[in-house]
Amino acid sequence: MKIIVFLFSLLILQGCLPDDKQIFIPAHEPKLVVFTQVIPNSVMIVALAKSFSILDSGYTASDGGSGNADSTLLANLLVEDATVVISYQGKTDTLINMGKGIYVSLTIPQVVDENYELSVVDHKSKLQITASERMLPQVNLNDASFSKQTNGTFKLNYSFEDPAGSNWYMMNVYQVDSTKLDTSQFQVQNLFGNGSNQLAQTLFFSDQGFSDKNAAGSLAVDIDTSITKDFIVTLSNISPQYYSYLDKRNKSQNIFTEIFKEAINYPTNVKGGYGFFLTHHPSIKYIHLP
Amino acid sequence: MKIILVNFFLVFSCSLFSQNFRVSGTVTDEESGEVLSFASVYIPETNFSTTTNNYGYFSLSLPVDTYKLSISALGYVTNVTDINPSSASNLKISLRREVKKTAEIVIKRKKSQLEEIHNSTQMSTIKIPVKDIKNIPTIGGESDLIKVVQLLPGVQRGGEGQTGMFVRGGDADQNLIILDEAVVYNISHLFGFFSVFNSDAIKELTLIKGAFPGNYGGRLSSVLDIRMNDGNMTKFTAAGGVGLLSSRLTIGGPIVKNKVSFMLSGRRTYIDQVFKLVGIPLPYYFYDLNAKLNFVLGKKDRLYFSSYLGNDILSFKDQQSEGIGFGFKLGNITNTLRWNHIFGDRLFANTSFINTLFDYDITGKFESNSLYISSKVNDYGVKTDFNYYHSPNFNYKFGAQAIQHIFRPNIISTNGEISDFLKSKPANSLYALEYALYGNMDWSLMDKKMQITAALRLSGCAVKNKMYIAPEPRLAMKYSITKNDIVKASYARMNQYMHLVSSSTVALPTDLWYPVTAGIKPQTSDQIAVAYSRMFSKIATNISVEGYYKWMNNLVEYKEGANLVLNDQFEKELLQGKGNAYGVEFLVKRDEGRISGWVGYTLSWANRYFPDLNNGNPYPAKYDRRHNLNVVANIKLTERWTFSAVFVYASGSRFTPQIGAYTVPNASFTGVEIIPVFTSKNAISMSATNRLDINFVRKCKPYKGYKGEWHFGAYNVYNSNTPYKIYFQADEKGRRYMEKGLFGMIPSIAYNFEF
Repeated sequence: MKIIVFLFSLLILQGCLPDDKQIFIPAHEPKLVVFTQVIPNSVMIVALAKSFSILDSGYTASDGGSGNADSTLLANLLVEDATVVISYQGKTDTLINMGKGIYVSLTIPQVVDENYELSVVDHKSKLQITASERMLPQVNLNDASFSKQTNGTFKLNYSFEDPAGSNWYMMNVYQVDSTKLDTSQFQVQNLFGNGSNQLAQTLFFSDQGFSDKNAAGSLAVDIDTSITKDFIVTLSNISPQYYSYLDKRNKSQNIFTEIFKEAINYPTNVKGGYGFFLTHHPSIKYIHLP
Repeated sequence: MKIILVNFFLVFSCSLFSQNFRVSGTVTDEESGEVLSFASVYIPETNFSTTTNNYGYFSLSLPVDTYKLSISALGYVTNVTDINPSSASNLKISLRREVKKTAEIVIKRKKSQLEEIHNSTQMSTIKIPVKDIKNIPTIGGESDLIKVVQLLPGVQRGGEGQTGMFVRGGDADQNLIILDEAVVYNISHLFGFFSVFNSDAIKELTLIKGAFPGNYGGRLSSVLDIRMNDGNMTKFTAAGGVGLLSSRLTIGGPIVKNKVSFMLSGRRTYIDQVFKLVGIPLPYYFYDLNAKLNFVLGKKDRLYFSSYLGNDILSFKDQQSEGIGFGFKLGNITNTLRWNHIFGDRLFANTSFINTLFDYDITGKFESNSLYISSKVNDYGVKTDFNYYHSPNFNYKFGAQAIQHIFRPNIISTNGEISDFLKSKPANSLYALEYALYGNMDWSLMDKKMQITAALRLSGCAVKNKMYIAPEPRLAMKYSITKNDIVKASYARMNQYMHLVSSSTVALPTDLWYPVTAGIKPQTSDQIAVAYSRMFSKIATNISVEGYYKWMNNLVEYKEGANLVLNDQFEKELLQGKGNAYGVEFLVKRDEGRISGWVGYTLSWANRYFPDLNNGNPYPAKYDRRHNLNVVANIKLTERWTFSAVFVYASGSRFTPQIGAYTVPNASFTGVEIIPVFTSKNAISMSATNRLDINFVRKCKPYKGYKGEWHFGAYNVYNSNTPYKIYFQADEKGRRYMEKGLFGMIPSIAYNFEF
């Protein structure tokens, strides 16, 4: 009898729950999204796409996550009819349209401390963006090695010469399929080109902890030596704004941010759009564990 | 400045050399012997008047003559006593509770608390006797003081149904909530749905939103001063109630008649037992215990000891035999020992020794792994307050206080594999010594047409490697245009040396209080307010309009994405910024008669500015609700039946929804990430809410001193959607944002009794 009364009460309360109602939120206005990559002495690549509204079909929002976009939506977002211009040292270089939102220049040199200006006009949507970034000096990774800890985890030990002033760094650790990579002749384009590398970890830090220009330290890394014994470590001298972006991306993974879907607004150096016009270029070390 | 000094001298001289005598005493309830605070003490047809302080004491200077001294308080028959210079010291005056027949006779002669606040310099203040709000309907029929406070103008509630309060654009941690002078850090049970204050154990509460007297400090936005019942000095009494969610019982009485009394009150929920009925193990419950001892040591000395203990407990013990267990305990303990002493007939002193403990424990067990997390805040404080009744035109308050805060955050103990990534960590105590000195002067001018209260509080806090000290000037003025029309103005500066560190916009039990540090500066506020008040004495109704502007500095926020849970390096994640709040509050309030209650409306704005948030642009605070209308009515239908209703209309709280997204390669160019795009911070308001709650009370026929009453009520009668959450929905109707309401109509029934 008690159970019947309890369930009956629950039913009454459930029946009294008010209907959810729609709320109108101003629609998102699409903007151009930029992301660039510099391969030293080789190529500057600009990838262009558009942002989209979460009310667009093809996007599945998820509680606490970034959601998922299907391939049709992604394909529609690519900006395939744009004029992309990069200016530096009083020169102007119009990038070649490679299709699928990729624009490249094979002639832009890397001039340290030079300001590079990006200008994009999408002829279809009439959207425009500009961005400006100083080319930071490449920092050579003098040494990189792994040391195994007593609990079985690994530490990455590194050293490099820290340029004067405040600097921010990004290190990427890749697990490499050495059968597909000529490790005797490192070329950055090989690293990104053959699709054989698997990211182990991205690490980022500032030079605040270094007491002199010979920066050295160690960072805990999560690598799996049962998959491969070959690794590549890259070091890039990045802008503070991009460091802040990486920091926020990292923090967005924390469980409380995910559970409560706290808003995180990511920084950008693109005026009128999203993403990053990046000019950093990495130095590389190959590590083979015995 | 010279004019002020000359005025001071003249007033002092007059008071010293004129032929005056002093009438002083204590006012108590005749039936229970409990002291009556804020009772009105006055000589009819003259301007000589005062009010009793929080401990029922008054002192009044009069020219030598014989008088009829009137003392009145809401709900009591006015007492008129003949006094002359030889029989006016340390009077003990008892007021008889009003019954209907006498009420009709005395209503024109007495002054209500409403009238006293109207006549005083004190503004931005609302005083509510708890017995007057017990009929106000709330969720599940439980009387809830905080939810009633949320119905007052200038107070915004947090989430729907929750006990969080945001006063005049402030944050949730900017309210000083004290129970018999001890700070209560956690004011809610069940994640914010019920307040920790058992209304049977509470005598009265006072909310101060601005024009803070010098004896209060430590928070920016409000003071909620809650006083427990003292215990009946003359006879044993009991009161209690049985509701759908909890039951409560309060007993009190003399241990030595008219010398020592006690009060003991308990409340416990039976949510766990209800679920157990259907075989669902939900071993969650909360309880509160209030206790008080009251000693009359002599004509001039009184001692009180009051204590509160409350906990939320969840414990899945049944599963522990299977190697799985989980539980938490979250609660407060407060203890206050107070000593009242009267020096001569002019100086009243109260000295309090205070101890507060707020802690939470989380335990978990899975096979060979076990986890224990604990955090505590422990306060040891002493404060002493003096009221010096100098002359009819001058009264002083002064005092000092010191509180040693001990914070022990994030004590962790782990065993098994879990200890590989969550290391055990002993208590790492943080100490903060908060202290204050204050002086407060009440000055009457122009035959009491004008009154000024000036106060200076010198507050400070000593923490590791840093000592903060800051003056807090305050000024309040009142000018009587006519007897019933009064204008008031005030300025108050406040400093706050503690803040609540929360990982999200949702209140969690793991939110922790932390002190200022060498790097995190104290929060400060400056508030100005002006008010017009009109009293309609014949119908015991007051109408007031009050405008305010508040500047806030060094407010504390956290960086986007910051994880503050179990993070001892949280200081790096905090940001400090500015804020402002302004608005107008309207209040029509009637405390007595067949129809009583209030109508309160607030039009307000609250903004924040943090250089590192929202791209450095100002943004509205989360609870920046533009309009807030509350109507509270108690209607006596017949001798037996009373009807109460609450209508609430409030603009929606603000949120920052995701409106778009974009894709970019990840940092290593090995994949693509989807980056969400949000609106600017708190750019969108949820829909406005409105709701009607009702409650019928039927008094049973008294039988040999036993009184009972039935409460039949309903929360959200017309089942309105009161949104608390936004979600995204895609179905055959399209893709859209939806708002989810928290509670629909919830009926309630309860039985209360006393004897």
